[in-house]
Amino acid sequence: MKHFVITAVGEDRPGIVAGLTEVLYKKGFNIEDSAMTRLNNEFAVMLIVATEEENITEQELKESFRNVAQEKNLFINVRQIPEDVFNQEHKSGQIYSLVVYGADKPGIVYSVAKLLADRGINITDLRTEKTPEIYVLIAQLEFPEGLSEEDIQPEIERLKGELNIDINLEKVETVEM
Amino acid sequence: MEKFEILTYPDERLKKQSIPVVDFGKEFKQFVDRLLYTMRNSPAGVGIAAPQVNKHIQTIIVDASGYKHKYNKTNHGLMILSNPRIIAHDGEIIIREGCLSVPDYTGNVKRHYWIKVEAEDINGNTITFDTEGFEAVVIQHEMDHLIGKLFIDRVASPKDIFKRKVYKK
Repeated sequence: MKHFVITAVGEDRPGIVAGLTEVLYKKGFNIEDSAMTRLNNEFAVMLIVATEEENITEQELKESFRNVAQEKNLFINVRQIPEDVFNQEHKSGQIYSLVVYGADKPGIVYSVAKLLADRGINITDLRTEKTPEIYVLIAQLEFPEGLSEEDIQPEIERLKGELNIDINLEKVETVEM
Repeated sequence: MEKFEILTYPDERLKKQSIPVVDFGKEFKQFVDRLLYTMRNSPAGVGIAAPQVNKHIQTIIVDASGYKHKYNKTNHGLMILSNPRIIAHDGEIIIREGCLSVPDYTGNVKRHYWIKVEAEDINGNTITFDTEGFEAVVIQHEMDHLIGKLFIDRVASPKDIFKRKVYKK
């Protein structure tokens, strides 16, 4: 098995996903994981794909997207993932959801991300939205084992005051029903 | 007693409609005992629905009493409900739900915050009660199984479904 990560970005229009996945389908690739979304008027695609064809190279796979890249005006990048990296198991502690919002000002994302990085907290998903008045950041976080919400609460309070923003950190509990 | 085997998606039998319970006799009570045993011996064990063990009758078991959750403020303890109907509801609540029948995923699902339920108890007597928060969510989750729906059907957006790396057995 071989795995690749493919990214593609271009001005949004109908047919980008169909065009890219047609190539993969015809080559017998599986899509293992993906995120595809529109940011403003750009459409961004991130794919992790798998193939049983051991001989295919990054370059060949990229080449097979040439037509769709031209037709849809896409910037495409392909990188092979080493198998040991793909199969690495994630060891993580508690999952938290983070919501940050306030009047837009420079440095909100950086300040929040810096606070998290300094504590070894991993961001697994992050999105921002902005309107002329309000900036919103929503993220999903993986805390390292042994770290809890209370440990970083003082730093969160400090940042809230400094940037005059609201920060809400909530533990994600899954209930089996 | 032996646990029932729990059906897991993509088993088509999870998508079947269940029929109302009319006979609350000995055979029904024996089934309920074993369903309760299955629930008690599963992770969390706050709820189970008959169709999850391939018995397509409208019976659910809910017990929110032993579960610590920020929305679990009031509950009725162990309840065995047949033919449950939501006759009134109010408000909204979102909880990250997991399901024994969908072990690989969890999801944020929007449910009614407050519900008024009419159902038959273990002896077939009609009862009415209202509840809110956590217990209300569990009841709605289990009731969905009776109409062949899973929490995945209720997830609002792609951002609300999560793949689980390891499922605690």
